[in-house]
Formats: sequence, C-alpha cells, structure tokens
Amino acid sequence: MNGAPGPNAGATGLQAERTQLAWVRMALAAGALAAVTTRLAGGGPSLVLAVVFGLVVAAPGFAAAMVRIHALQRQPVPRAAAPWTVGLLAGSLALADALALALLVG
Amino acid sequence: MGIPPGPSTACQATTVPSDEGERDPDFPDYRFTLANERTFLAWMRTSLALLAGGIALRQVVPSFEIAHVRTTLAVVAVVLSLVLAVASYVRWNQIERAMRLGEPLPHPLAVPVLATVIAAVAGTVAVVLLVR
Repeated sequence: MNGAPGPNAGATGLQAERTQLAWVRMALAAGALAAVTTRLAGGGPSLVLAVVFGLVVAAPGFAAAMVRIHALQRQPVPRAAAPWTVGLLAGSLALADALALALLVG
Repeated sequence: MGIPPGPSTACQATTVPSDEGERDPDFPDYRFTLANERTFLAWMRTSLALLAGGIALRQVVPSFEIAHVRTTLAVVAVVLSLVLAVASYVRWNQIERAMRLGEPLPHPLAVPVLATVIAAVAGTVAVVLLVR
C-alpha cells in the first residue's frame, strides 16, 4: 500500500457501503414493523403475542445485519454473504409470516 | 440496434482487479455478488411490506360490507409475503451458484407472481369500495 488511489479507488467502498445501507434499511424496516405491531396490540395476551412477533421479526434481522455489516467493513474485497446470515433473515421473516397467518386465521 | 450485454453475461467474466490488485478466479466479481445481496434485501423488504400491509388491513382498516373480504385480503398478503421470503432465499442461492459456475442467471419467476397477486388484491379492493 503506497497510499496512492488506484483506478478503482472508492468503487469497492461504494459498493460495500450501498450494501451496508441496504442491510440498515432492512433492519430498520423490521424494527418499525415490530414497533407498529406492538403499538397496535391491546393489553394482555395480545400484547405478549405482539412482542413475540416483533422479536421474531426484528431480532434475527438486526443480528444478521450487524454480522454482515461488520464483515463488509473488515474485508478489503467484499465476499458473498454467508448463507446462514441470508437464511436467518429469510427464515425469521417466514416464521413471522407463519405466526401472522396463524393469528389471522385462528 | 444491438442490446449491450447485461449482467447475466457480464457476471460470467469472473473478477475485476480490486484496489489491492487481488484476483480470485474461484469467486465471482464482488460487484455482482453485492448486487445479488442487495436484490435479496429488496425482496425481503417487499416481503416485510406485504406482511405489514396484511396486518394493517386486518387491524387498522374498517370492515368491508362484504363479509370476510378484509380477512381474506390480509391472508393473501401474508401468504404472498411468506412465499416471497422463501423464494428470495432460494433465488439468492441460485444466482450465487450460477455466478460461480458461469451459468446464465435463472429467470425471476417471483416478479410476475407478485405483480399478478397485487393487481388482484388492488382490483378486489376497488370493487369492494365501488359496491359500498
């Protein structure tokens, strides 16, 4: 490293930065949905269900986003996301969908 | 008028030099990998929006005059959200694999499904509102 910018200087950073921002938007959207669901719930059992639903939606999304953002910041050349981070996000959302379906139909 | 080569052909030329001058022929160009990841995240946000829409339809929107329409539309939105959540992971995986092997990218089947179901839901809501 001589400190001089190469022909692709900044390109890697911008690609990684856009991807990190996409993860942040995803985590924010999951958190917002969890907050709104909890707000819409009344008291008692429905509030407990809403909190569980919110945790299922938001917590894995936040965890996956943090892991991926941290990895992107460490790697000089970005690599593909680990399948478990992508799977964790998709799986938690699928689980939240199933929970919402059970609540809607039941 | 020739069509310039799209990502499906460009991604097969595996790597570009990074700032550090690294090349790894076993991995696809990071730009395509990250683009695939952002597309996956966009699908996840779409899925989240459908889930939120389904919940809002059931919890916030007043009941329609035709019985069970509101609940049915909410269930359709949540089922579509579930399908998209699973399909987006499968598609991310398929695209990663195709890029590593230099194969053509798989056709996006979820786009016409999503457009059709959303059009059907919107049409149903429009009819119900007109009948009111």
